[in-house]
Amino acid sequence: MIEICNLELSYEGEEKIFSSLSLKIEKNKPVLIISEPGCGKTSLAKALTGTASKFHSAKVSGSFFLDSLDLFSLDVPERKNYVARSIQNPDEAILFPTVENEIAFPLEQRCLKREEMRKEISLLLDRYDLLKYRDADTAELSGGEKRRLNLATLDAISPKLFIYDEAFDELSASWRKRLLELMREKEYVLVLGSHYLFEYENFFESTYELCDGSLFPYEKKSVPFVFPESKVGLCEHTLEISNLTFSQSHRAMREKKTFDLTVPTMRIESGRAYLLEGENGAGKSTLARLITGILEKRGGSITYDGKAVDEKRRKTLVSYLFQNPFNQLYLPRVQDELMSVSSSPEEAERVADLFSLSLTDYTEELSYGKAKMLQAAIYYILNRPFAIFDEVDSAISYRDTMSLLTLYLERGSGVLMISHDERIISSFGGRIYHMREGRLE
Amino acid sequence: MRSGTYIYKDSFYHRFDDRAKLIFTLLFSIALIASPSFYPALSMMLLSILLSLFSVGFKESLLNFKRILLLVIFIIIFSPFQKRDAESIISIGSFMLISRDSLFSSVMILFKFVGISFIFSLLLETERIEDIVRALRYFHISYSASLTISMTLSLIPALSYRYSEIREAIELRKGKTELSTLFPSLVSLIVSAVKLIPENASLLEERGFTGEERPSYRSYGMNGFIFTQMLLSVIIPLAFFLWR
Amino acid sequence: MSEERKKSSALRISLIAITTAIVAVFTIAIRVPTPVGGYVSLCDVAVVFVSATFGPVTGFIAGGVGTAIADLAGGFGQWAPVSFVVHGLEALLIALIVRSKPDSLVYKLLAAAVAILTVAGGYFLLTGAFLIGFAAALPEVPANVVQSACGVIVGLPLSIAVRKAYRRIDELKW
Repeated sequence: MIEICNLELSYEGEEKIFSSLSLKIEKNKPVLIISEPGCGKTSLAKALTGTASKFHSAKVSGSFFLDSLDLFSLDVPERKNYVARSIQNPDEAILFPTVENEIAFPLEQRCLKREEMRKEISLLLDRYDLLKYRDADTAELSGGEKRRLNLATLDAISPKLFIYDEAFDELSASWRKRLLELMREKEYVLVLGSHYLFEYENFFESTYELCDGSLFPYEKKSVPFVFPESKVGLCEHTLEISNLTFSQSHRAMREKKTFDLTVPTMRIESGRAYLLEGENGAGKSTLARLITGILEKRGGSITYDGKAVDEKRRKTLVSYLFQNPFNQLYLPRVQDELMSVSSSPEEAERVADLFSLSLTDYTEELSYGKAKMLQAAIYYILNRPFAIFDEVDSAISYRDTMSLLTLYLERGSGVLMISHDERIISSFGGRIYHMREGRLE
Repeated sequence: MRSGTYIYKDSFYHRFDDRAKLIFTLLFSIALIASPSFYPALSMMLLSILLSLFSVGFKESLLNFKRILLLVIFIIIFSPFQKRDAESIISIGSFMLISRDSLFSSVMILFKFVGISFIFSLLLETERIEDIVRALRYFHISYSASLTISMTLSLIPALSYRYSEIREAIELRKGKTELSTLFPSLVSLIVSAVKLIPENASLLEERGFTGEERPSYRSYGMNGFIFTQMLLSVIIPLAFFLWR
Repeated sequence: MSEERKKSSALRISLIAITTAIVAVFTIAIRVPTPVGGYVSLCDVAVVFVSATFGPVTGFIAGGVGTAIADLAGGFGQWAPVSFVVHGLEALLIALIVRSKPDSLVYKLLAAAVAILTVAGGYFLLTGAFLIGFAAALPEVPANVVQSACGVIVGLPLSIAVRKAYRRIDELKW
């Protein structure tokens, strides 16, 4: 049995992420922990593998035992025989240029004989349906394939305790089922996630919620939800798309594949909220890039208030909140960022308060969620007629997502929200657009 | 980036052993540079061109040549400026245009440059980079070094992609496409890359890396056929080197 | 920082891999159009940045190997050995200069002079002796002078900007 007692973690000079966290995991009885983004799931995983204290300057205390073995006394490479984790962002999980090399690395560290290694590689690739990519470059894989490669790599490490950190994201429904089946065969399983998926029903021995740094038994509650009122009244600006076509070819596995996108018709009015939903890879981000003018359309028209607008002009009309907020931040402090777009220090201070930001914080030291709020604050000041929220809910809590939406709507922006979160989809009060394999419906 | 250099064909040179090819490329280049006479240099250049034609075909070889064309032209054009104190061949009035020595030296430079260019292009067109790294491991570069190179090769396309994302993102934030978005993009790119350092180190150790040497999952056999190839890759350049 | 971390070769490997990749990416993927047409590569900016920020050993390896890989990948493999020596040396010298007196203007000018001499001079001598002859190597010199000068002009401020933005970076010096 695995026993975690009074686990505490804090990063340099900051408050504790969690305190006195205690958990028991029994053999063949998987445990699920649900928590909102930013509450410390990945920090928990890193604390258990040991890299939080070794490489990220975190102070970790408490105890972590497997039966009578003190896992905290083991250095990271030794500990991997007992505990290993999957990586939340599959793009950052890949170390080597080829698929085979990536899976072979953990096997090499286990000092297996060559023949064994070769068999194990084939077995693992087959298990995750990656055998056909054996000779491929890791750079050519899609998001879902990278996720499966990371899961295969985790299996190659072959620990006793498997920690799955948001592993179900970007997997299709059939793969989610398959993953759960594979988990049954593992000795100790800990799953960390931000949403309770229906596939989880009847699978986990115990389910907890990580909230405010402590574990509570999980209760499925219906989220009290009020969809923000759109600013009713004159619709000041409209963005209309008709017969938009676009195609992009990319090399994957030495064949050329094309991705085609068509939008027969779409209309966004300022002051209103819209939702764009679809599976991963359906083309939501591509459409967003077309709207904002990063990508050039092949055919069709995009008009602003009835007049055609070119790519250059469109860039000034839309606030695109990129999925990774750090892509759009480059100044040292929060106040530098805000002052670069604001005309007065008072405005910067007011907005910082509004978005719960501290002016003296260093940008690159912000958590992912706070960086998202900073990104939103910058665009809030810029006050462009339209805004696109790309998967905002993956960085901040549901409540914060809704309050962002409210702030923007009150300001008069038209907001297009991209999401695949079922909660948001089912409770959305505005017009919903569906993206299916490159086609808008 | 990687797939840009490797050409998928199945020629004799493609199948030539990676280690022998590495040795051959190196020794051939040295022999070529060190060659003082006309015929050996010419033969080596012709050999490398022929090798290219037979391994990757005419179209690719032509592309290789186009890449160095500008410099070839430079070599030819600037030849009058060499070795001016010798016997003249072509003059305009009292202005010596080309001397025998300068003609000779330009032609030699040409042979050597074209020869080396082709033999290097061939190496990268008939070998995947990870096979080259594997060959280097055979020659006992340290385990850490080979790991580092592999990781670098994986990071290059990843960071290039990140750069284009960041550049787009910052252009959108500023609402314009200008040089002024360059510096901020560089800062953002570098910071996001540097943040990866502890992450990657974590991954290495979480997968079991201790710093100790580990046997590779791929191995080299050593048989008579390969021995012959190794021998050839040493003997041929040596022969050219001794031919004066 | 724990004791174990300081001895970790995993960290050193990651540091070298990433800085080398940064140099290679700046050389291959980032191009700035020039007024006279054509592009200028930012390779010297990256080399100066890495050596000023991370020190001579990292700079030497990242600068040398990074530019060599960029040459190999771009179809200019024959330049790889030259680039390795030239930019490796450039990185080493810049790092030593910056390390001794980081803020003085005189030292910055010295760094610029050293960079220009090493790069333009180095390429001229080495490509002249081994690849294309001195006569044909001459026209390349002005371009190299500009590129290496830009390297210092942009690279040093870049180092300062990045260090301001990400304070933890100083822990990674080697």
